[in-house]
Amino acid sequence: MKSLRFTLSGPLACFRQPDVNAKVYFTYNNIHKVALLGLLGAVIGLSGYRNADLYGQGEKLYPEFYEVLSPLLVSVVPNVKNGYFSKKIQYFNNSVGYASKEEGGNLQVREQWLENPNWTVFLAQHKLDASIWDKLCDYMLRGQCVYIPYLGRNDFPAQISDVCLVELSVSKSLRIDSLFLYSGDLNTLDGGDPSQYLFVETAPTSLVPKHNFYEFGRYIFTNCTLPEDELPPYLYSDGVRQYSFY
Amino acid sequence: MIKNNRVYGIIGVGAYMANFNADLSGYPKTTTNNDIFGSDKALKYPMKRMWLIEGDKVFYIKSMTIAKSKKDKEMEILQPKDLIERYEDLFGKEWDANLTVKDVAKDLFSTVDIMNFGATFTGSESESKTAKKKIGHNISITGAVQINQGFNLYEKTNVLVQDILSPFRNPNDKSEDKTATSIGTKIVTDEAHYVYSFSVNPANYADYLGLIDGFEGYTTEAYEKFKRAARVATTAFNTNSKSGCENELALFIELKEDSKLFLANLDRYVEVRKKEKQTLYDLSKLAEIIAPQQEEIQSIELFHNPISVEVNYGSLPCTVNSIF
Repeated sequence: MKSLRFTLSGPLACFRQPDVNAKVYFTYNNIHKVALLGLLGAVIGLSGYRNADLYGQGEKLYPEFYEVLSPLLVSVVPNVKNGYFSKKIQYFNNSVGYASKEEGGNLQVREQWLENPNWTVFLAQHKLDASIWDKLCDYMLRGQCVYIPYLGRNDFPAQISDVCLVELSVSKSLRIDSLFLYSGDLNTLDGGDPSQYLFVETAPTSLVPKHNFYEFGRYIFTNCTLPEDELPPYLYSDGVRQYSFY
Repeated sequence: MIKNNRVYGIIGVGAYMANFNADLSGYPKTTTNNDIFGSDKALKYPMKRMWLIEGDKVFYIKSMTIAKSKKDKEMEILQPKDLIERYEDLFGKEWDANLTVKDVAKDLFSTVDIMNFGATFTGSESESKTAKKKIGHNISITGAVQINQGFNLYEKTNVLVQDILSPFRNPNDKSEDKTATSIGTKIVTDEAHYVYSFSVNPANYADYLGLIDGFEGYTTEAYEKFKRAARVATTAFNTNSKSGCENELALFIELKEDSKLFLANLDRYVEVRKKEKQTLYDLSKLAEIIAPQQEEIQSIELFHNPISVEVNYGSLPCTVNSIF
């Protein structure tokens, strides 16, 4: 299988968690599938979430990037020890009076940022329309973009480097070297000693039609092995490491 | 004039015995490994102030009004204007429910800050004037100009804490200062050089063409205003904590009309160090990165402070000008 591989990085990133919306905004540790599709949509010029009222389009099922790109399969490898990036809560003020209904008109924002995130990302065409896939590969390989792709906030541009097409083969080893989605019992994970690690995060996997809420899955990054009958689908290998596509 | 081509660039800001951007504790903003940085907002604010002073329309800036206190109706207080108050004031018209989302978007695009930096205009209510008014429109405009966080690239920066004396005593009985004037602190960096990278992408407004009457996209006039502000706004801005901050360098890489080249975070190819008494901005790595992209580039302009800053721009094919 042909796959488009690239390194995605930046000095800072923030993929906001929607479940806390006051006092402090938290970020997911890794770029999740919906955010990654949005970033790729920016590269080839697909539109994002927008005010349907302004465009007189009526209600759409999904934002354009998701409608077009969701058949794509992705695999993400966090390039950091144990899959965990350092994070810090940053503070800023918004003192124009109309930012909020705070008393005194001053909105204080605390936001958690990822520092120096770096992922190796693989894309697989899967059921994506061939013309879109070719366009995406072409733009990525030539370092072009229609809109500037960013890591969760538009003041954090994404650095995309080492873009290339690689050949992957179907594989079924018990150890997965990328993030994968797993809803099974964590106690069945085995091995990895003496420096066993297990990173677990519930993060968005898809969008709900029309309302565009996130649907969540449990992302895992570990050096443990999985029971054979619990292996996720779409496992591919480059001969050295095995990647899970979702 | 409509501007169609993309621009990437760098803005260098020096801070001498000043605090360009503090966090809640009063210290300069830092990441977990104590790298000092300034936010995009810290850089945009002096630009907006400059435009405001020069008589341009600026929407997203604090403006004050006198209102009745909610707790004590007799008391007047000074508070920032709310969204509707600012809108009515700036555009000189009454807000009413018949204003369509397109009318509002058109007004917003007539301001220099939104034309450059975009806007998040959200529904809101205002009760401070006689009638209760409500905004039902949500408009989110991704600005053509996007600025990153600017990291301090100078390695020898020290953070200094100085005591300053207040002219007043604290009358609170429990206070240690009850019989003398109180002491405060002022925190500054002895010398820091913040390097921001930015992009100008007129394609961000492509979606609005044909939607808003008379709107034709990002304009050369707006870009020229941004370009001038990028060169002098921080120097011109003189509050207590920012009075030692000045624009030192600005680089503008103009792409050809149809180019979709993506250059992210150019600041990572910049080094800042001292060369005798001058500050040296080393752009030679940047020149290497840019070299294979010559086909896509229309022109490169470099501006720097010729007195305090020396620039090593290697093989970068640029014109060199004074920043002033």
